[in-house]
Amino acid sequence: MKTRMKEYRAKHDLTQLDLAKVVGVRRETISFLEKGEYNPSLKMAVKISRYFGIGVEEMFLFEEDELD
Amino acid sequence: MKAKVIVLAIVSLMIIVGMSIQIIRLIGDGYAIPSAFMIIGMLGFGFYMMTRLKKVYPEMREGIPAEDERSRNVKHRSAGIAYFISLYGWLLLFAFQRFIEKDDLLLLGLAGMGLSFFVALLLTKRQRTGTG
Repeated sequence: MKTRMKEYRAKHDLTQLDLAKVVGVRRETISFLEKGEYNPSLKMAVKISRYFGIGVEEMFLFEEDELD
Repeated sequence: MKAKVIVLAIVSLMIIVGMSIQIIRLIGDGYAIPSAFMIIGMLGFGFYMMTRLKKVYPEMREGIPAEDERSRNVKHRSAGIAYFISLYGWLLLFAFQRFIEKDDLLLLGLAGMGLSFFVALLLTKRQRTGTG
């Protein structure tokens, strides 16, 4: 899974800690999400996407074979 | 969340007090080596709790939770791994029960359970995890 979180975070001039505070998670979780090393719950995915004003599918990108 | 930290601090203090009483008893009974192990264990536990609280408390004041979805996932996975390791550990201990005293067997088993969870936690912490 790839995310566009880093890109959007940079656009909004936010640090990982700022985003963590907004989403209500630990900073490490944001770091793991950005590296694609953590698959978030639907609730967290929606929370992050809504904050940046985009859809979940725009924020979190899955390859076809990853969905099998 | 503040209540959680207070409960954690009280439980930690109770563990340290309980271990201290046990150490004094062991020293009184002349068990130098087990008491030395317990002192090391107690110091290690105290140090871990102090560093953890030192890290978590300022973050909590900033509004960062001490635990989130990912840390809960990591904990659940570690508990699962530790459960299986502990099962085999107990089997191994029972296989050698003739050569070990009952008290030592229980102590080893319980310490092994704690240790296996700690090791599993360290290993799982850096791994790729997720809900999917």
